[in-house]
Amino acid sequence: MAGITIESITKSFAGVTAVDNVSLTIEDGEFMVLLGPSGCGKTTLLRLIAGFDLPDSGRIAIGDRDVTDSPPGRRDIAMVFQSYALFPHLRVSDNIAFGLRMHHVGKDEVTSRVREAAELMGIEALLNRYPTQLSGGQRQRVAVARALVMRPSVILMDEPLSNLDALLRLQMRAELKHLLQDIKTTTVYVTHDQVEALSMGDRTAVMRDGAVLQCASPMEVYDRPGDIFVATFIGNPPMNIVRAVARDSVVKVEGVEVALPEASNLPAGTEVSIGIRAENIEVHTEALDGALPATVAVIEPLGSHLLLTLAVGAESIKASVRTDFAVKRGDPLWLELRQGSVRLLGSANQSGPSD
Amino acid sequence: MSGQVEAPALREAAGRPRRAVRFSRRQLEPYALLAPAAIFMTLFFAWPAVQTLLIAFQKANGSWTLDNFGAMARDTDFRLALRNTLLVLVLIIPIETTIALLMAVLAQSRLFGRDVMLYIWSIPLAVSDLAAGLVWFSIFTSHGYLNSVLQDLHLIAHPVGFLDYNNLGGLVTAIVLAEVWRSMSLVMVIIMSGIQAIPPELDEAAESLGAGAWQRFWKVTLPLLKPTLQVALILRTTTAFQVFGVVLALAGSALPVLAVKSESWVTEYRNYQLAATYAILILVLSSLSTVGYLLFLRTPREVFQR
Amino acid sequence: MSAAIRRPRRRATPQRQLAYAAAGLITAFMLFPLYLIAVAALQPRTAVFDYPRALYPSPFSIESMAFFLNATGILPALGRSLVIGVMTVVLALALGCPAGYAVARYRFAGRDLVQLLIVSVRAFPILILAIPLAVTFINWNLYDSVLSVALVHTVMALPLTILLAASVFLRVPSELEEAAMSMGTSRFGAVWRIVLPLSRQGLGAAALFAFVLSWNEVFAAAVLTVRNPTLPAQIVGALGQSPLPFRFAGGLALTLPALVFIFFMRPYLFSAFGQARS
Repeated sequence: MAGITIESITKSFAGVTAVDNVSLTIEDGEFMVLLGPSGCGKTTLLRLIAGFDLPDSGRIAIGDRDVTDSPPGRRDIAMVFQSYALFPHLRVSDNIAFGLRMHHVGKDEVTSRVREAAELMGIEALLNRYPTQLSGGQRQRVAVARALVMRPSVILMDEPLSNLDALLRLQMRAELKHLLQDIKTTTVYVTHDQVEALSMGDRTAVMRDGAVLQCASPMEVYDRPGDIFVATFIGNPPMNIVRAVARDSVVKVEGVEVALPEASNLPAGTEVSIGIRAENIEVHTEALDGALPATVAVIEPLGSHLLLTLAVGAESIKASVRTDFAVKRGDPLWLELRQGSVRLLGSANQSGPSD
Repeated sequence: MSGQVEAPALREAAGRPRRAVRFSRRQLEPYALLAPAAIFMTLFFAWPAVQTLLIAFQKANGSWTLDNFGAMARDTDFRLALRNTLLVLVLIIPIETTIALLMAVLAQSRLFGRDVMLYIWSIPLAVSDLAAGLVWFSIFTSHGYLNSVLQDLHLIAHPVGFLDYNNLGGLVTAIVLAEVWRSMSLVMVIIMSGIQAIPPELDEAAESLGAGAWQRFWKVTLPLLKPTLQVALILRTTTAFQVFGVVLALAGSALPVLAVKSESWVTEYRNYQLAATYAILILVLSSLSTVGYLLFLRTPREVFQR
Repeated sequence: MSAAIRRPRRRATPQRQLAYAAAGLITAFMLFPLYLIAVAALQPRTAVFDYPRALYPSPFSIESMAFFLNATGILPALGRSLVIGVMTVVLALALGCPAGYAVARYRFAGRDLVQLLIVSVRAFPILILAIPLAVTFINWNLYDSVLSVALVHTVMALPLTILLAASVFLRVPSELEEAAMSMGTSRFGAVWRIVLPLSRQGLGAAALFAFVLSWNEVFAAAVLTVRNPTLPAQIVGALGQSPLPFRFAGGLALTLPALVFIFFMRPYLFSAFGQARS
């Protein structure tokens, strides 16, 4: 068991900086998710921890051991690959036993540990098969078993669920979380799927352009995003971003005053962006003091609720309402932003997610 | 570097010049892997190639001279050998390229029995030029199959001496046929690999715009194949300048060519200077042809950039 | 115009008939000479002097083949050809596999240059090497030996071997190697336990290519040997004074292995002779 210390790691490939001066501390037993769009550097960071790539500068420690220069096999890690990387010429049992044999574990212990890992993943019946004879879900279980059997200090997972179909992914997500909570092994989990990030991790590090923008618990990242990128990358629909003008602890949106949860020390008149989640907007059919007047532009029934796209002056805001809310296109509505749920997200001319 | 020293947990290793270590290990690996092959090729390829050049400019006693080139030009069969080599080459290359293009296109279309057909068409790839010469010798020799068939059909009264000393037409035809038969498989395979690299959507797009099969071939496939053809032509022309086994099997000394002259100066007369001079001539001619192909079949770089 | 009406394309349009005719013609052109040399070689020795000749073996006989194999020097030459072929394969694989692995797995300065060199060596007239090497081998006491020919054949086979090995290694996902390394093997161990077992077939084909090249090569073998020629060199040397049955049987003996070789080489023809793409 060990935590991971990453200090000022930089890595570039052919002049392109993939990981830019990242520092991150992962606690012992913690489930850390690296989340970001493709090309943000999350996989590179994982490969640096694994030792497949070596950083240009900075250091990495696992537990209290500096592993910056260690080869992958000496880092006490186990990795689950996106493509599973099962050895096609070895049976499932030999795939799982491979690492133990490389570490000269005794024959009897190999047999019992392979058995144990297979039972944990529910693949005892598949031990004599070759990887090509397995379904995608079964391969995934073998890949996880092959990692767990090593009893490593750290488990690294590179988008392990992305090659599964939607239904299986949902099932494996819960199963993996359950499993890893029981084992309490430090885990670093790379994904571009924000739902996976929110549902599985103890903490989520949101990355973009090789840098960690915010590292916090899933609810913190969701409710209190650090900047506009995080706000719009996480959550479905993404957080509404609205331009406003600051004045003490109040901002003015389209002429209506909205209270901020914490006092801002912005000079009065500064243009700012505020963020609010769709579910934190109360929708009224009649005019209300302090509510924003809006017009219904699009109505999308999503089964559990209706998603409304509303025009508020020049802004477009999404709000969710119950399915029995009677509304049609063009109706006037009044939006009340729920107390304490408005986030101040810096000056107005910052850009949203680029990809 | 300053940030690392402050890290208390990592202090012990911080003083080492780690960057340099990483450079040496990972970055030297490919060169170490390439080294044995590189050393071997230097010893047995680059060095002898330079040696040949030197020998061609030396007398037997090692002093420098240009006499070898004069001696080559005065060599009895020199003009004939040069003419024959060029004549055979000028016939072989266009004929086999045309047929190979046809074969490649046919092999791409989904004909019944395509796999067997491709197997048969590939066989000559593993046949040597000497074997090809002997195979066609059984056809063209005076009591061979061609004369037998012609006589059975009463087209001739007596066997024709196709491979006689003075029958240049017969000799050249036999050599060209044998060489085309042997090497068009190679050209076909090269062209097929080129065709497979062309996205099928391009052909489908042209078809949807109303182009017929013939037009698609000339306006879409062939222009995109230009780099592939360039490779095939360079490879085949340089080997055709060295035509050797086919000639020996079919013509013996009746049709002198450059490579055979070079070989006989070594094996029969132990005159390495003259042999090397012939070899240099072949090198110069193939280099000129390569430069020619590179110039005349040039494709603007931008066309194939993604 | 709708998609459903596309099916009739499969039927015998004039275009398709023309394609079949052309394919048939080319196939005949490929096969017929092979058939004829077989007929010529599988007749009694006296039958070769019959004229006009029969287009089928009448009667079938292995007399010519036996005569050829028993001719002076043929069997020892055959033995030398096999030995040289195997030596070429061993040398080419030993040198070519590491180089191919470097080309397949590493991005390094000069990688493009290596690929360019590989292509240009193949377009280089190999005949130019034989003459100085003959001189060098005389000095090294290697002239007229099996090793000297194998060395030259390795020079000729090496670029192709590197190219093929690289394409074979590229087919093994590098993640498999990384997975093995994360479980405690060194890079060499990962190659030994994972990459090589998965490349066995492809490397077998590369070995076959090297063997065929050596088996077929005439010029260097003729220039570098006197009393110890390879099979093709022995046949070339005997051509001038040999009777017809010898030549026909020799032609068949040199051609027959090609049928087997190509059968196993076929899946790799494109990686071997196609354009080098990285």
